[in-house]
Amino acid sequence: MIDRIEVFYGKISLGDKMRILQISDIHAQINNFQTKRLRHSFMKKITDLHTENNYDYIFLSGDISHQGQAFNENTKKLIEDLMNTLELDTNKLIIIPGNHDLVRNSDRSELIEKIKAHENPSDYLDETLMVSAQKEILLSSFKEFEKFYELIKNEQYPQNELHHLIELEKFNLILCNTNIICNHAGEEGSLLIAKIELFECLQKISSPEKPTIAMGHHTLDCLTLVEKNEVLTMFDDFNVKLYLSGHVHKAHYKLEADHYNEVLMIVCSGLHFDGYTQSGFVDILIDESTYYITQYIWNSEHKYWTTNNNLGRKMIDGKLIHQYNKSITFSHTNIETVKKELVALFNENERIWKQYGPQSLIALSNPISDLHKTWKLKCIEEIIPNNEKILSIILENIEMVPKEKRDILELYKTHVEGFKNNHLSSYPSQDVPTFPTSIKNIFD
Amino acid sequence: MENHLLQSQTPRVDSREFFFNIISNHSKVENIEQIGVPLFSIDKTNGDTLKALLVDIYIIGDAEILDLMSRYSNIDAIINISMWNENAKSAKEIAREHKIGLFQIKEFMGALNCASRKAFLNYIPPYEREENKKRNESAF
Repeated sequence: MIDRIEVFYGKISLGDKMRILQISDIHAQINNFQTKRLRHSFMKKITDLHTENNYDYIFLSGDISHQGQAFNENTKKLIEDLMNTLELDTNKLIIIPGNHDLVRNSDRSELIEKIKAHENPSDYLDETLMVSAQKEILLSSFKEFEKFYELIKNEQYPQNELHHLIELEKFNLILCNTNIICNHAGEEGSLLIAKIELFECLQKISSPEKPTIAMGHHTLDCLTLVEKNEVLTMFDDFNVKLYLSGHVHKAHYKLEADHYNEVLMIVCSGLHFDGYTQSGFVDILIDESTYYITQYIWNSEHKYWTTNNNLGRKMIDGKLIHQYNKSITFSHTNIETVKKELVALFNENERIWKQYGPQSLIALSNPISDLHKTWKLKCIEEIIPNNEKILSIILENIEMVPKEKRDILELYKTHVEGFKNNHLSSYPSQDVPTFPTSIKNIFD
Repeated sequence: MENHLLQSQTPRVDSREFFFNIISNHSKVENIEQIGVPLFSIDKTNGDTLKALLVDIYIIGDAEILDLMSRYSNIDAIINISMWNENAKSAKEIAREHKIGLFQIKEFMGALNCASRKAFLNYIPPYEREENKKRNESAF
């Protein structure tokens, strides 16, 4: 697998793969010496990485500001420099708010206290959000973030939606707002996500065959246990296999697999230095079956960025390679595609057989017609290769062939071998089984 | 004479008529008579008479030729009517050893031009002669 990733990284074009730079927790107002050094070096590092293979997106998972302070010119410049460095337009920048991006107010604080005091805060939050005036109060703290969003992205922030679905070319992205009841420090483990709004957002996915990635500022461990369970069951049902977050200022990875499809949780560290934060960023490469995650960490003593191989045994080489699409069964769409492909090949062979074969009208009415030469040619150039394609498709999807139909497959194999032998070798045989028509329904 | 062929091996009526017409118009054929469903007696202009069995078998291999010979005795030729059918080389050899010519229809038309039985049995059509030449095998 390591060879594989090196091959990918060694290529100039990533083809069908996507490369994402995830940064988080900039806390732009923190501007100490070490932070200045790491941000300066960060730009150089990502320039090098971008030169090797282009980034397609920048994901910024919240806490752009620090402790609710105003978004200033420095913040804007930092993000613009980043986009210029990676030669990306604003539509390739995905931003979500973090708890430090909120500006608190008393009305909201009161409402949050009321929600938390309820015997079932999760359901009560859902009910509260259904009342537009109360929803407005809860969202009132996001106004400054929304303005900054519009300034950076030149587009309006979708104010009325708590969570957003963005259907990108190669994957679906669910942007989760995990800050809806954030109001104090030390709330980890007691947050709520507004589960009905998340469910409705997931329901909007129109291309479920694409990989779906979710991103929120907080890790799911910051939610209450019950709320986390609700989120994981929804991720399970809507095939979300990757959740990106920040907030905790320490890089981490975790595989949530109990009772669910595997969801890979990636936590990005912050892009600042404060003595606690292990500054870092994440490089994510995605192909149709696998995530390749590289965590980078700032060496504050020697002042350089390096891959972080300290996070666990799955990242001994600094890269986490996680196969998210390992399903050996096919989705409805896929098996239908396979069937369509087979039908096309069977139909083509049948057309040739009817038009030029030994039972064709011409063959029966004029047994010495030269059309038999065309039949011979068609057998060699079309039917035999089609037969081999059909066999190959079936064998590639053998798990989908019901056990009771394996005999038909064996018969078809013998037919294909014999047909080829009869047309290409000097030792034809009458004993080759004729085409078993039931092979056409081998997947049914 | 009774038909000893399987239904699937028996040439269709229009195939038999086709054979009858095409052979009766051959320059070396004096007369042709159908003496059974798949059997014909062919009088040649040189005075020779051939008893020919007409079949429709997709591939005549060793097993098929031995089977045909066991069902029909005293025949001189077996003609596989359709050009879509094939006669294996080894089957032709077996037939030849029993002094029976195994032909496709077009080959049989060519073989009828041979004056002697020996030449008739060893007849090789022109395209096969060319292929044999390419492979440095006998052209005759």
